[in-house]
Amino acid sequence: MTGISILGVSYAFPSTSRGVEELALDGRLRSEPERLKQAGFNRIHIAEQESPYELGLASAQAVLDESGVDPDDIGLVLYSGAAGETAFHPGNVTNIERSALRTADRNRFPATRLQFDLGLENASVIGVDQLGGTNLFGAIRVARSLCLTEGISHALCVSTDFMPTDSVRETIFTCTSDAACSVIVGQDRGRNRIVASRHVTKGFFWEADRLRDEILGAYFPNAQLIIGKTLDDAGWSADDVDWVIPHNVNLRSWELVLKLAGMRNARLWSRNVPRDGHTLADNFINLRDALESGSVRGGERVLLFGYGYGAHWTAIAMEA
Amino acid sequence: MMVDRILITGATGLLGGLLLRSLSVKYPEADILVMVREPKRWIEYLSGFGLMDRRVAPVAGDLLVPGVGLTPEARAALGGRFSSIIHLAADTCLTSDLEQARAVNVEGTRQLLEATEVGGSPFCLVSTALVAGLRTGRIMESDLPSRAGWANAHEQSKAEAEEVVRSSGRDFTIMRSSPIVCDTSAGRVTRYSPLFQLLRFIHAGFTPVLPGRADSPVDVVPADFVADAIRDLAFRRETRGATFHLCAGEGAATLENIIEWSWEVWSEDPLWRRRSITSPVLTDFYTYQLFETAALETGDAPLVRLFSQMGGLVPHFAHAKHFDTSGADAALGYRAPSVSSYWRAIAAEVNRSVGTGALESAA
Ligand SMILES: NC(=O)c1ccc[n+]([C@@H]2O[C@H](COP(=O)([O-])OP(=O)(O)OC[C@H]3O[C@@H](n4cnc5c(N)ncnc54)[C@H](OP(=O)(O)O)[C@@H]3O)[C@@H](O)[C@H]2O)c1
Repeated sequence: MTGISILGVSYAFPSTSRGVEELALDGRLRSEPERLKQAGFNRIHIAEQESPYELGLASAQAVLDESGVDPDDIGLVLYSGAAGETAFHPGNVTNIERSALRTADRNRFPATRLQFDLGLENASVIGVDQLGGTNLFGAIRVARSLCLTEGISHALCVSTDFMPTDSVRETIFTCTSDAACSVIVGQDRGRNRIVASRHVTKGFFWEADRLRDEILGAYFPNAQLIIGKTLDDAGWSADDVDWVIPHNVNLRSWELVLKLAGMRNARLWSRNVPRDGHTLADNFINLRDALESGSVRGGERVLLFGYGYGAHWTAIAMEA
Repeated sequence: MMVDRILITGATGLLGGLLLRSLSVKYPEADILVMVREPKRWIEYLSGFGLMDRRVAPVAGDLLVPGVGLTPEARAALGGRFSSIIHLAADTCLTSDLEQARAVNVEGTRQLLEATEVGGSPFCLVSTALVAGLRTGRIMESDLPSRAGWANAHEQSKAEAEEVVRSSGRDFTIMRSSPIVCDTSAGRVTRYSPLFQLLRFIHAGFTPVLPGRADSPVDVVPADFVADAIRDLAFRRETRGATFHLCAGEGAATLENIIEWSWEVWSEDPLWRRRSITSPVLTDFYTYQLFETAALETGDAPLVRLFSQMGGLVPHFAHAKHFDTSGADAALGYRAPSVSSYWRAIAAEVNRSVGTGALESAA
């Protein structure tokens, strides 16, 4: 079997977590906590002590250790998430020195430091950015393509997704956590092969707050379209999908996406929604847990669908 | 038949104005009495219409007041014989609750029948094709209103008004119009119908789903066709007791057609095209209702507004109906223009009026 597979996934959450009632009391939600609970949310993780870089490094180290991939075999690092100086400070540091931006210190890149800290001497480094919740999908898309065209055997994709500690934690009826997640993509070893992937960008929606109602209107038709195209590319019908590995947005919306996409047999792996809330890498965090828990078994057909501000709709069809 | 005296209610409305003009052209010698709520406003209205020199006189009446609120003189005037009483006045708002809608449309009709009982004049009720409610399939003109449920209180109250007229013992004609989408067969628009508001949402990309299938019929008509058809049917003895569909019938469009034609027109506007708005997903009614429930659950004001404004209309797309118009076709000798002949003008008007903000302020 040839192709590109997901060879390992690891993630790291910060040590602090908060319940939705607590967040409401702190004024960090827009909706009533009850409504968010109905939508599936209970707790989220908030980085107070840890920096994005620390969590990114921890998740990357873990995926290397767990997958057994030799660091020398990593030919590419794709880093997405907190950029520049912000990557090195915990979420509760809000006044990052602007002076750092005026000197060569502005070039203290977390992506290259990661290569150094992990000892990935054979890897070239690329930053993937500005894809919102589809950052990691974007990184995997580029990695898959470069593995196929440049013969790279393994690529490490790292996402570190943070908000300042005191941010409002709700966007469009969804509660958001801080997290880091790392994925190793490489030449197929018979499991978790990426069968197809699709991505669509609609720049009109770049102003997320101002165009909130338009984004809500566009979310579902575009979800249906991108899922349909991905399934077509995979040569699957909607009924062939065994599992949908979601991004952890409002569960109600998932019920609707599944219906619109006509995936009648698919089960939604939603265990982590109340535990972890939404992160920019949640599809992959969920994928790892779904595989590890034995819910998703070898050979099953899995669809990952995500949305990112900007706006982007993306999906991966994967054979577990 | 000799047409010398006509009573019209609802003459200040969209259809009423066009009908009045049409009648005064065809029957220049007839005396036309219009029952209006505010005769003072009527004078203004009439001059705007250029009908000052015609034999049109107002009489004050309000369907919400017992006895239609008529003065003794007005009661005497209404008690005389008319060639036809054409009853258009109605609560036409699709978001009215049942009590409000019944008060004007059912009780008001009953009161008008009573107030004009002495003369025993033939009574024409202008009703809506949507008295078919949530029925599906071919709807015949002879079919009685729905027992399959309703999309809104307006259509339910109009169905009950039909019943009041049918059981009144008066000579009657019932004319059921499809939703009116524009004034003229050329697609000119002076008032934005609820369908326009739905098109505004679609144009803006606010509408994620619509219930229905690609081939669900969209049966709409221009007001001038309906006005002319009322004029031509209201005075016929031979069709008394009949019900007519003033609908597009065979000329109806489909949901897919109207989305496609609208996209064609809107895409000509580079600003709109660049937004790459995706057309709503057509889905079954159950899934649409899931959306509605989810939207209401969020309590989010724009979402709640969107679904409540769509709610009175869109269930019909999911309850596909073909209106048979053979009775009206035979009696009239002409048909409603096909929706395809003017839809592009409608779509262009949506794009234009969204641009000027007129459509939003009319909501
Ligand atoms: N428009 C459509 O799409 C459509 C489709 C099918 C059937 N129809 C039927 O056609 C008829 C006319 O529709 P339209 O669109 O022309 O209506 P419209 O523009 O909304 O006008 C309604 C008319 O009814 C009058 N009216 C309302 N409440 C009244 C009351 N309590 N007492 C006396 N008069 C009252 C209004 O007078 P004021 O000026 O004083 O408010 C106005 O003249 C209605 O029976 C409607 O059900 C319309």
